[in-house]
Amino acid sequence: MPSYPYPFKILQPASVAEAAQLIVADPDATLYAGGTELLLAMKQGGLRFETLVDLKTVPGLTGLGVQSNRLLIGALVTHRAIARSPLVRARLPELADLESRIANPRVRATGTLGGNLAFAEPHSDPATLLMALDAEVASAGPSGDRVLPIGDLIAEPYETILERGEILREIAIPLLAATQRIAYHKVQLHERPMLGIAFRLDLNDAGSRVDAARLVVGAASPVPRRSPSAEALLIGSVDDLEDRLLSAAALLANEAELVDDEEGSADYKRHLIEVHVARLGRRLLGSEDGPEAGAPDAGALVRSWRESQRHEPKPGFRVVGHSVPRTDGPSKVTGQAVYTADVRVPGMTYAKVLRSPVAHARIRSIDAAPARSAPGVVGILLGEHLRALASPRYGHAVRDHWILAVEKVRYVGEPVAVAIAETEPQAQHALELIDIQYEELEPVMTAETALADGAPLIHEEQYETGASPGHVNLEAIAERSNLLSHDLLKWGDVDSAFARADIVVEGEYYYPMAFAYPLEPYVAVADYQDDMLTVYSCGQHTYMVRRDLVDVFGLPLSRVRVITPFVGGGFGSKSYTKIEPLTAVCSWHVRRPVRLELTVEETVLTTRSDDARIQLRTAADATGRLIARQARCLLNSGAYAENSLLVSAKTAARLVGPYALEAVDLESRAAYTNTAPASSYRGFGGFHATLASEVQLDELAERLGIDPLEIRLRNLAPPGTVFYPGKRPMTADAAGDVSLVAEALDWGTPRPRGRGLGMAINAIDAGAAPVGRSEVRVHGDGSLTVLSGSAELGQGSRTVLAQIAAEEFGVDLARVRVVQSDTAVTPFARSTGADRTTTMEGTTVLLACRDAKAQLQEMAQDIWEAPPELVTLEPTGVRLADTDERMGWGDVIGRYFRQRDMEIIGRGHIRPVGDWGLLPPFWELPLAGVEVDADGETGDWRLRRLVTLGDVGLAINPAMAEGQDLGSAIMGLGVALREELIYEGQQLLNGSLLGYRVPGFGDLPDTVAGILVEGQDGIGPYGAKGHGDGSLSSMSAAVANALHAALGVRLHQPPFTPERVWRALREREAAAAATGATAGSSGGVR
Amino acid sequence: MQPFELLQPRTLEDALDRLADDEEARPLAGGTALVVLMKHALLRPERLVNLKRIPALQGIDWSSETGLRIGALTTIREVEQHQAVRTWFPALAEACHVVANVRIRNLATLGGNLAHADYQSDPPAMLIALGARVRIRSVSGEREEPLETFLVSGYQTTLEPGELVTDILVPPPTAGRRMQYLKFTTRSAEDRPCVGVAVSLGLEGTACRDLRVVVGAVSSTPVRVAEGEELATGKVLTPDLIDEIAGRAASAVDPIGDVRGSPEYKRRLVQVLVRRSLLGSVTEVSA
Repeated sequence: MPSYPYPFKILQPASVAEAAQLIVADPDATLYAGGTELLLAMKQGGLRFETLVDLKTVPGLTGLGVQSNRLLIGALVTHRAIARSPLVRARLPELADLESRIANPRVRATGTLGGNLAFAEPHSDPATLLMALDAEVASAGPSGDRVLPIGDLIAEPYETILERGEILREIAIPLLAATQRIAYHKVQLHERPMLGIAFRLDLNDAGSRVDAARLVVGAASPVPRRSPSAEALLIGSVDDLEDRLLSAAALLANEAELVDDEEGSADYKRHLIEVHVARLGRRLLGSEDGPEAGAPDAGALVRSWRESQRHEPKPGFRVVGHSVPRTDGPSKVTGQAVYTADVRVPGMTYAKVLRSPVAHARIRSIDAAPARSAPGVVGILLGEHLRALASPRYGHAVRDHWILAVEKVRYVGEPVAVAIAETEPQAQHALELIDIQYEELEPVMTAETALADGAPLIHEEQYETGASPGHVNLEAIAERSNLLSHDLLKWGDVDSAFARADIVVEGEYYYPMAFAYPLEPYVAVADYQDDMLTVYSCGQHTYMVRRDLVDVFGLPLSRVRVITPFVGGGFGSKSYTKIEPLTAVCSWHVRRPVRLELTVEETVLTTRSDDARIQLRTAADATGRLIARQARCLLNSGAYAENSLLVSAKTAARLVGPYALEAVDLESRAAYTNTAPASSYRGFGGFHATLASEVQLDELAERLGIDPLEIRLRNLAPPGTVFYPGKRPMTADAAGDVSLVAEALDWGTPRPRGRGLGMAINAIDAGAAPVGRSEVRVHGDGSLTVLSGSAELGQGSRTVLAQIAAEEFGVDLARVRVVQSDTAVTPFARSTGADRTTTMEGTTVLLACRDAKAQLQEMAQDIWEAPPELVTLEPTGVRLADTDERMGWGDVIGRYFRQRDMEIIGRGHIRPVGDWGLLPPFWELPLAGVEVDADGETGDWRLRRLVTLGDVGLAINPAMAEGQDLGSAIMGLGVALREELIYEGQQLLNGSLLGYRVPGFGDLPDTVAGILVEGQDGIGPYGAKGHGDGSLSSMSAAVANALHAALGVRLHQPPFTPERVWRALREREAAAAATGATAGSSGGVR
Repeated sequence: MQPFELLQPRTLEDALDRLADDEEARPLAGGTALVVLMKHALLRPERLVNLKRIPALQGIDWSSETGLRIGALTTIREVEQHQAVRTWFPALAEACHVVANVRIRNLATLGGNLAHADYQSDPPAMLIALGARVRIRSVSGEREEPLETFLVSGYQTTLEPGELVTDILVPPPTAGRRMQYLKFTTRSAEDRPCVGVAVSLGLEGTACRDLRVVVGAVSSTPVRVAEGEELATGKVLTPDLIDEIAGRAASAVDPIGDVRGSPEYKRRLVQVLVRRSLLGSVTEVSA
């Protein structure tokens, strides 16, 4: 329903005279014809009227006919009526054609010609053509009736010379004689035309001479303009008319008072006027046909993506492999879906956190007494209260993370106290009454200073390992220092490999700290009652959160229930445990339900990604074959371990790349510092390593004079070959994938200066731990409930798991419900991340379905009293072979139990043995190709084209797979463009909504292509393999390589801000000038 | 956010009365800056005087004699889309078009933008290039002042307590006047400017009659490049002369270094952008 910002009334006069009286009598009234312009302007608040005088009911304004060789059109005739009128189409087809192209069908159906002329919108067509036709308008008003040439009607934009109360009645258009010809052309890029040109020639009877001409320009000018001088120039012989067209066009362009605007520059419009006057002139002379230009290319981005989707469903599947709409789509887009922030529990209180203002300090004293008696306060939680807990610290790898600072603070933003109150503002107010005295210690802000001799210790005590120690190497960090982890990956004889190499390249690369920026900040609701704890969490790993809570409170697994409603984006930043222990301890402290929701600024301070400085050397032979790699990596992991041990280990491991190296020596160290804790971020280790690995590969190729595509094709590990000792052989056709991306980029075609192509690839050991289980309940009517411990993060698992179950049971998607991530209800899932849900949870759902079907088969044998071999499974039920009798799934259950609505449960699980025992379950190939347009003067650049490829084995839902990969690539583009968390001293400089910018629509590439490769070669359901981390990891390297191709500079540190690019250009110029050898050749970059 | 009282006057006089002698009250226009400051507890006014319901502060009028009057509460989006602005001051429409994003532009007002005096903003530089003035009212009377002197420093204007900007006045452009606004961002496309350059060029034949070059976002207020402007007067703007003016512009500014760029880089950008904007202006002349 249309909404207007203010009320108004509509009057419906019976005659033109009455309408005029109403207008004259009321200064706040205006005339209302079709309303397409007026009502829009009123809705937008641009115009305000209290009274509308409706002309639609006034008789005598809707005639359409011919009289005295003139076409008469009533002012209230709609555009559509004119366009469709057989009379107009026969006698003045140019007008009918113009009217049929105005705006859109809705506007044409209600908008009127008279209203259009009276509104005098400058970007409109009809007046321009009507001027060239010498049309006149008849009006009636307080000073009497009059007839005006249409050129006199319009005074300036939105202004006619009609006086108040004067009403347009009719438009009169002289019909053309046989010797008169007219043509109209408009140029339109957006909502309204940018330029309209009407051109009329009156020839003599012989057709040899122009006796008169009309040349009118509209839309580009404030009002439609004739050019009498141009028209005069056109009079004369038709033989040399073509030669005079360009001069006439120039004169017309001068009339137009062209301006630069969002439609185009004045120069461009002038150019268009010249082009189209000449074309229209030739058309009128019959020397050229008049094909209309094609539609403008407004949706190029969307179209290019759609066109790249050449997916065809695999034969034999009903639901799987089809881009069915997300089952949670409608509730999410209508705002009905429940996220943790929507959860309300009866009696709920609100918590706000007081955070440390200093990076490294001892807490000398805390005075919270005034806060305790503040209005609405239910309790104040301090570090001293943690003593009564089974563990005051948590952490899945190292149990080092204090739930609340005790004795010491270790970064700016660390929680020190929590106020719990009846309302959030009351809690906020109470925080201001807490007084804390700190004794500041020397802060350690970078990994380098943290590991220097004599650096202050951030953690004085030795901690125990957590429940999932994974890569913890306590031996390596036995000595008390700020070293958090130390990994060394070695095989082969590196020294001899480097000694044998024909070429060695080396360099230092730095990937910055970043924030994953889910739209939903951290939020939790906890309720501790009767030694039972219920927590609503926005975490990705519901069951790992449960484990940490079990350890904190010393409760059995069964007494801790963690529920993850819809998650508003995770991207790794919601992996593992975040604010759940703090919220739960608050509830335990006050014995009331507690809700804690962080701001975006607090969320940034809770988890960021590790930065990584990587020194890398690569050895190759003269043909470009890679032999060996050596690396030293150093990560700044912040104040607490979180998942940085694994990040560090993966950074080293992912420097191997998808290449078979004889020897590697890859070392990575992670350091504690007094900065915000670092942890998982989509594809961690992958993006850190790929930057170094793939930029260096391009540098190697350049030194050897080999094309960057060629050097990759020469080295990529073929499918099925072991390239990483002890791991699963390559599970994808990497060379084929790279070739597809190269083809989509038109690789090898020379580009002008300032434009360049780049690509990058890696092989990521995806999949996390191959363990988990699912259940499928088959109901008495054959419908299904799938129970899965994995969480729906927006990635689409709820839809994909339903598709698998629907496929297995031959039922519609509408008969499947997926229940997820509630530890009291759903079976164990290890985590939701590392591309594991479709592959692993999907497999357990598939196995659970098949288990249920086997049970139904046995039940059918019992019902039919038939031997096993006679009862077979069919797509939608069971069949008895000798009688050809059939039962659906629901019939089997009903007849077996003799009870309506009974049910059975199928179970499926995987564990790390057999095929699932060989890690990784599959290799994920982040692969991206880009074309950049770079400005050599300012260093600014943008993407012209982006190509991503997902080698997914089989896409259960292709549209979602493509969307996920495109989203991943744009997330990676963010860091290549500008994303970076910056510390200045102890403070995070830009950890806010305003300070930290992610890509917007203006940053998107001009065109994108998303390619899916489906070789059905994965270990998951029907040959699927995960791709959720996607192309992100390759984006910075691909852009850096493309910038080199475009501008000739190498960048090793994203974000590649314009300033960094400019500095690189300047350094290169300075270097060139210093050597003198190429002093003259650097002029290409100004 | 701290609780506050919201006053909703319907007339300018009422609003001025409520702001007079009340140090705890603050005027509220679009709120895009004020509300953020309040959410971060950087400002804690007890009362907000909402100006959005005052008709006298709304709207845009154009006349070829007196020029443009923009009511202080006119949104940036309205200015950007207004036909008279687009026709007669296309570069002002551009400077408004590139402000933040459409959601901000639909709320933020031109008067609020100027009174807030954030140095990293687009409209002020363009308005100074066009010789804009601001009209100011308080209970004790009305005054007018050039925008150039109205902006004193970052977040500082000549506004006294109780005074409100009511209108922005832009004189009519001389015939054939060229104008340009170029914005350069180093972070997201909708970010605040790293550098903004506004140019307004009056012509006598093909020679420059008068030129204004104003650089925004690099200092606490927009910087006029007076030396460069004088250099151009009476001359045809050849590429060499434009290079020289651009050089003067680069040395006239003393950029503030921040996350959007170092002083050195911003100085370089000023040179490039002044050159490009002048080249753009004169290309039109020779066409």
